[in-house]
Amino acid sequence: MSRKLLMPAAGGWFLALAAAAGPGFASPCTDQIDAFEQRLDEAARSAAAASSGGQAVAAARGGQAMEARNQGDQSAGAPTTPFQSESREAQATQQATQAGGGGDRVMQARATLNRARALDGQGNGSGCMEAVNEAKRQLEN
Amino acid sequence: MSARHRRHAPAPGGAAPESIANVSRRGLLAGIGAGALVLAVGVPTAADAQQPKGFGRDGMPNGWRDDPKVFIAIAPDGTVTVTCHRAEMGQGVRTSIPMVVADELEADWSKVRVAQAWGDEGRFGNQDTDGSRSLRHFFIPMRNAGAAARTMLEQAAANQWRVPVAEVRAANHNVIHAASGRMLGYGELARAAAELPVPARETLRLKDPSAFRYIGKEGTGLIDNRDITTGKAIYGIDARVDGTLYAVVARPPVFGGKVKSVDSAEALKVPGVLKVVNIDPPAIPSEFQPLGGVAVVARNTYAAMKGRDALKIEWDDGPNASYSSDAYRASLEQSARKPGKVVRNEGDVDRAMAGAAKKVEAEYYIPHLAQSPLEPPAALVRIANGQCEAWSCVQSPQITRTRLAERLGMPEDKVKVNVTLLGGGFGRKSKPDFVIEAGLCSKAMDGAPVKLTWTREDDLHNGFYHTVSVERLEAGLDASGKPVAWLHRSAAPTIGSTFVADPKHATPFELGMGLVNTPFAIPNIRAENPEAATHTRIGWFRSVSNIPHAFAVQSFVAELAHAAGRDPKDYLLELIGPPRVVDPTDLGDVWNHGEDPKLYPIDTGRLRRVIETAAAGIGWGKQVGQNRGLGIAGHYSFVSYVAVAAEVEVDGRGQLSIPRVDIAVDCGPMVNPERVRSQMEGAVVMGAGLATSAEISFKNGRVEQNNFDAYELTRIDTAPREIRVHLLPSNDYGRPLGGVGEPGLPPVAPAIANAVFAATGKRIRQLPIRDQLTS
Repeated sequence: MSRKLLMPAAGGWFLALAAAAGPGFASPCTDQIDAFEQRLDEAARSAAAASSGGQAVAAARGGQAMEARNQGDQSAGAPTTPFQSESREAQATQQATQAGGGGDRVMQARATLNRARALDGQGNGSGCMEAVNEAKRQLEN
Repeated sequence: MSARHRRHAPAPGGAAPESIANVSRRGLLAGIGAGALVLAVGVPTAADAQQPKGFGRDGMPNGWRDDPKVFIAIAPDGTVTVTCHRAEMGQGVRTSIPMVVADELEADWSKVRVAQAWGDEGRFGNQDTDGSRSLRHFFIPMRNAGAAARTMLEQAAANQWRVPVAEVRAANHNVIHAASGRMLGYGELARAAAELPVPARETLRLKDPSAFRYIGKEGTGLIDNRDITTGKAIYGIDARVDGTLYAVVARPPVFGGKVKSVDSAEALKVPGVLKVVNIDPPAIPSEFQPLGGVAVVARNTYAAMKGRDALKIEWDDGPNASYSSDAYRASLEQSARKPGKVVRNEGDVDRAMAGAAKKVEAEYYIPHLAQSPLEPPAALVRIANGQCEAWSCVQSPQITRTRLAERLGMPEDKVKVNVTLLGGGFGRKSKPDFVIEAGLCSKAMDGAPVKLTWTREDDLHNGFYHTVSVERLEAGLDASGKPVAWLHRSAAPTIGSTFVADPKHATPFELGMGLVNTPFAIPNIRAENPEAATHTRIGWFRSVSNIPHAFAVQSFVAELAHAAGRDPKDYLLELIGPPRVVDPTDLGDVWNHGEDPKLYPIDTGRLRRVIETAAAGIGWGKQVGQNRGLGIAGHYSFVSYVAVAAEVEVDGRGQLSIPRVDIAVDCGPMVNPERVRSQMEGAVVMGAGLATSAEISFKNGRVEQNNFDAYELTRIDTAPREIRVHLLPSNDYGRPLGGVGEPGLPPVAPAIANAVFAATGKRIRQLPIRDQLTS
């Protein structure tokens, strides 16, 4: 579980969760996780900002950004849905694409990074590093 | 205020287009009196237009505006006209936005009227009325507009009296100079005020919330109530002008199909039928384009329908001809039983599951739904003198304008889309395919005004349906019954298919609706999104993917509570855990409704409070008698928190009734509590229908339901007999507003289903309940 997940809290379950967050020492993989998590946090915020709160725009940009990213086209072509001037919407869709394929890649990378954290907690350093590298690939490729 | 001023438009049947297009500036001028309009003369400059640059309203296409010259007009008689740029579909935005403006303006509510904006986001800012965000995004801009206008009126009075502006103040539609006892009404000051520059945004003095007269106060009725209840209100289906022709369309019964051949000879013999018009099928993805088919244009709608009946069409059903719900459900179940794309992962679910004392698993099925607004899609379009004008019940006038212009081959600035009242929307009317159809018919009739109407059957057969899904949940419990592992797989065709061809996975915004962002305090959680193909048009439906996610999650929590021998409400609260503030991006939610995660975190304390409030409201734990049961569910969506506690009764014949529902909402600070209450009541009624009777199913690519006899909405005998709404108060207007239109819906069905279990011992794992209790 992400260490940031629980902020002000009290109660037995919280203590149990905190204990489950991992051992109290920093491994080399812990450092990798922490460093990459900062990038993920930024990417997640970018994805939220690029998606928009409207269902129409979020669906269009998200769908197009995922498709463009999955096809390896990080620049994203002109959007099919001009909710605003074509150039401005193209720019917005490109931002969404760059934000990890509309956030899709960020989401997957976060899940993988958390797997790395669990492996780290289990003392599986090599498995952890492998998962961190996989998370990086998910975000970057 | 006189009825004349309160009316949003003249009575139906008016001949002049202006009588419908009350939204036009010309109509506005005529309504107020020639030469009287004094503030609404400005056009925003490029510098005024906020560029999308960030979260929330800043991130929306075409951003936002707060220029009083765009939104406020004051006539010499003092009448204040506020232009509402958001679509009214029963949520009350045409009342709530003027309330915000009037409060900051220090206007007398009895002198306030509303005009509806036409589609022009360059002028008004973003107009897509979706995402439960009209007030969330425009509360501050509308306050700014009102405050700016008030400041200009005060300055105009000070100038006239030759006193420092600091010595005057606006109060209840007047500006007062206390030292001299002088007073001028807004109508007297408006012309001079309009000549002053709009004050800079950062210089505005917004009212202290303690001085609000309308915002957050009870007692402001819906501004359109009189017209709606006396039949004077104009909806899209009411719009007409002189010389109007009427049209209906025969559309492919299967999505992706097209006309193979058509014989229109008999149709053209029907008295009143004028022309048969072919509409080309769209490319896939079809976005908001018409489905294609054959339109019949006639002198009246009845003749058009008879003509359509007489068409002899051979259809090519295309690639979705074999789409059938039974087989598709099986494929979704198969998909959900295998590992899918991991979209959230915390801890080690597999390991925890393997070590659990007890394992519980369940699959839930939620069918396609149709928005089925009581007013089906309808539009009037005419093309004359190089100009196209449309009147329609659209949630998204700007994209309507853009797409209409493209399809007609006209410059966008020659196309105007006037927005009528919407007789319900629920997301269907975000998609302007029906307006484009009307435009194509008008073009085929040399620009004559054509009114195109969808029948109820059309609406059910050719919709943009709510997704269908299989939700599979597994949990591992420890010896005390607490969950130590949670796995949720959601398999459902995606709305993304509207915009891209053949996507296999949900978009992040769908996953951020109750799948990845479930704020449970469980150490090992994994959410997966297996593949799901799309075979029909998938659209957003009020509260969207929250419906299946909330149904599955909240039902499963109750199942776990039962397995653990615990009270469901207490168990739900334990799963949520202690009050804490969670960054949604840490859960994997990269949408967060487009809002800043720092400004809009998930506050589990607020979620707990609505659950506790709903439970207390219904008297959780009370003895309810034989055949009765209580159920509860709580859900976070659209940055608001809602919980529902339901009491149901199932008689000896398996007939379900709902004596009472308590719903508690925390949507942050409220503008119009009466509207919040109404939205919650409406959500409960709608949710009861989703729980008990609503289902769209397909066979051989075709929708099986034809009308409300088969697609059943909530009826009087199935509606909850008593609905009690609990508004969690918040007077801190420094806090951000939450959504209201949608978040009431998701917890309704699971609360009812859980109550059914409490009453009967029968677990509901598929919607609708329909006859599951009679077998």
